[in-house]
Amino acid sequence: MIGFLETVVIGLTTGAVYALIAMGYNVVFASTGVMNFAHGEFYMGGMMIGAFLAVSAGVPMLLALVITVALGALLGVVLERVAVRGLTDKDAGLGASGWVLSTLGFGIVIQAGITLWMGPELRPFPPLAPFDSFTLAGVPITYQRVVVIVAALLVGLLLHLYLERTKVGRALSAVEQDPDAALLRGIPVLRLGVLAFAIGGGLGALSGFLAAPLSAAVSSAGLAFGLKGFIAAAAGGIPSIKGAVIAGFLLGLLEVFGVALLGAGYRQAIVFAALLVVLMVKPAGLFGTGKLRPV
Amino acid sequence: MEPLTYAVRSRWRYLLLIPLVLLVGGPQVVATVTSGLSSLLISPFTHEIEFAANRYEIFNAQLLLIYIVVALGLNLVFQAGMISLGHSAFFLVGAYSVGLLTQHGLSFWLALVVGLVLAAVLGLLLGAPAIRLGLFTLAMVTLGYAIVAQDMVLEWRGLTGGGDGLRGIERPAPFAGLDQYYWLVAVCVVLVYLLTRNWLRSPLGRAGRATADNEVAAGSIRIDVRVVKVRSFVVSAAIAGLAGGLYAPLIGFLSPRAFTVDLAVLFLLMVLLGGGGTAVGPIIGAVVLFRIPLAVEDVTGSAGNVSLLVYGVVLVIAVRLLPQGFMSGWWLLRGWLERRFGGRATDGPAAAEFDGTAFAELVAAGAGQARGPRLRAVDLRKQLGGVKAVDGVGIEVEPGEVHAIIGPNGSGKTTTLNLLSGYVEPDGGTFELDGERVRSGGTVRARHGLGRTFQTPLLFSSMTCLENVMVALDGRTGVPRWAGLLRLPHARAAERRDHERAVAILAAVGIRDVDTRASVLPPGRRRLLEIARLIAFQPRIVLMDEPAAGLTHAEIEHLETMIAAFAAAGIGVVLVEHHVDLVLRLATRVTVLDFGKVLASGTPEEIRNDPKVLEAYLGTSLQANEGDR
Repeated sequence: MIGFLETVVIGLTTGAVYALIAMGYNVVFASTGVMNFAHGEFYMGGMMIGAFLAVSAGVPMLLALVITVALGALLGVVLERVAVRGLTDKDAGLGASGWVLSTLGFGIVIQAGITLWMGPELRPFPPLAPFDSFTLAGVPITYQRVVVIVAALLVGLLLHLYLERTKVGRALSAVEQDPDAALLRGIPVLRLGVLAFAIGGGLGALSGFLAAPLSAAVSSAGLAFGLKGFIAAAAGGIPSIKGAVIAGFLLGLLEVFGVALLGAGYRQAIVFAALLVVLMVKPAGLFGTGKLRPV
Repeated sequence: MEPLTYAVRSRWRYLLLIPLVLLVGGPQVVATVTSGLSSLLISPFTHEIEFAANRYEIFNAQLLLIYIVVALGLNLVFQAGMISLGHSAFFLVGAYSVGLLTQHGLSFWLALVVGLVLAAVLGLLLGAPAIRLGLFTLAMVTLGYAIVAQDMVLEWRGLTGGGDGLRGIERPAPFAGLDQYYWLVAVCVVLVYLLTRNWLRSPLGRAGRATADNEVAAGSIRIDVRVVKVRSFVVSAAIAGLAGGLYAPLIGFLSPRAFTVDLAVLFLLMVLLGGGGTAVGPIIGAVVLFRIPLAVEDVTGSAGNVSLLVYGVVLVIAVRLLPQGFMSGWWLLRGWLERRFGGRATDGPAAAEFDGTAFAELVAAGAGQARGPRLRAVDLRKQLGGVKAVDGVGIEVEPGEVHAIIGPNGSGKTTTLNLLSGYVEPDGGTFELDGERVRSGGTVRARHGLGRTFQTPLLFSSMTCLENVMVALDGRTGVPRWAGLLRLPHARAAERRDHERAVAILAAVGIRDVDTRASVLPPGRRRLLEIARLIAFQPRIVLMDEPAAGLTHAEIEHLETMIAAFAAAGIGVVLVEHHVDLVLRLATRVTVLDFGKVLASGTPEEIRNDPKVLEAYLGTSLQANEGDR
């Protein structure tokens, strides 16, 4: 039986990973109105490319991290060009769903491609921090867990400041609210969209790279983690960065404690039930905003 | 695009005889054709074409037909503006119902019905709370259903057999053989196809598409979007349950591993790739997506990741070529053929000019003998953010009166109108029609006959002008909606009448090209279309938000005639307008707002001479206008 505090630490770490993934959805959605259904595969890609670089190719960890994130960003740009641009016509009514299909398809391609390349087995992944632990209130905590939690908080803070405080960030949210008006104001809508996908892709790869040492890398991880990240985003209120971080941590804690109490078979049921309860009370999510004036 | 009414019959409909003949041809024919087609596609790699009618392909053909049933049902959900990734759960419920109940001695037929009903009930329980959510949140929540359903089968080992599965499910008596069972599946496919096609092209489908396009506008013509969504969700869950019930004895063995999230995603992809919202699209999507993995397997000799890779690439390419699915390609081709070889008569009226007399007659016919209700709103208050947008506004409108609300920008005109039409929940104040309190809510007020036009016209952008008007006529004929599903004679007659009336209404406002999609209309026409929809709605009170904005001089004159026609028919009109000239000519009463409060209220003459008004707002513009004359 794991102790209470240990469970809290595991929950927070899991939650940090969910928060990182959730922010990847939000940063893309905030500026393009597109929900990147391939995002889970970016997370998986970060794991696998990281494993390849750090273990098979013997690249130093920090350099491997930089390369992985850069590749994630690059793949994000490719995704935008191949599977999103030109497929988001809002006037087309039902037809505006083209990018739903193509981002899903793009995700399938990433997953199948990486599995073909590296195989379906688990891959070892060295931790970013020394594989030691320190003891806090009698609970041993590995440094990697600290790295993941701090990274989630730091990324959250940076993204929040970026989206709320900088000129580019405010332009991004203007684009999401009304692309036409933003364009008329001289905001380079297209370039900002590409930028958002680059950030989202890099963030996805980063979250995989950070999470991999805790679980080992595997090419089938994309769906499950992409889903959890999305749940965190939805519960937190898309596209709120604050909401994603808070809901991510809550979700991690809830999942770990729920499994401890009810058994692993109920892992998903607990998570989805919680999501449903949150959304029943607040359909726009914890920190989501409804429109002030409907018409 | 595909028409949303069965009043229009196309000669292309005979093309549907091809799949029908195939189905009637029997299991061998279907297996031969489907396997032959996919082997033809991969023949560049394999250098052989194989038409196989072996047991494996006959089994595949039936599995495909069952998937088609699910896709056809799921199409109804998508058409109403929802994405469900949870239909594998309803499919599972149908399958396990039949599997478990038949093993406990219940007859297959009864078990099939139980499975269908269970899936429908589950669809209601799970769908009703979820439909309020946004598009993607709903997709995720429903995906949760799919995952949890699978987990529960694994967890409740005692009931379901858990991971070991459920063995020995037998096919019912006259359909015991694989070849015989085909006929049961085929009949179900045809029935579900007919049901969904009629659904899409009847008032049910129009309400669904209107909801998908614009929920606020749908509510303004008394469509209850929650009912529309729940209805679609429940019916499609029931159809998935039926398909599951057919699936269990086909396979004979149920394992939770068969009902993965991937299956739920596959169902959705079938709908989207084929063309969501079209009658035939899901069938084409299902055939393509079902055969791709099999075909790739034939080429590479192995299943799994290669076929997954091809699958993903095909998806992306297909969407790039035809973002709205395969059927949109067919409609493009068909449009080209018809233009090239002529012969397609337009449904439009002969004349295209605004016709004031016809307009007045249509409005009067819609209003009937009774005069509209008296509107009385007292002490309306609404705080938006930190601003008191509306602060104690009261308004009374008599039947047949034109009551204008004017005021500077930000004085609370639109918010007042939104409070009156129920889109904004007031912080305080009362709203009465003929002395009876009516609670807030756009659809609630629309039910009481409040018609509304919007500052920026809210149209159903993916629907044609004709469909935009027809959808507002629906439900006024008194024909129950299910009659449209069966295309009963009186439903057909009502559909044709509505079609003719819609054309007449469009002609009266001056829209001739009735088959044009609303999204491509220029601004002036958009407003005309919104007014046409308003007539079809048969309002008892009309609320208009800056109807003259963006109109030409001639169009403003027409608008004046239209508003006068509403008033003449005994309908009260509330008019928010910047165009002071128009207001002073038309209005019987004018209320001037400033900073959310009523500055003055009276006849146009009183307002014109009110020093407060002149000072605060009208001053310069009035004098300037008078100077012009």
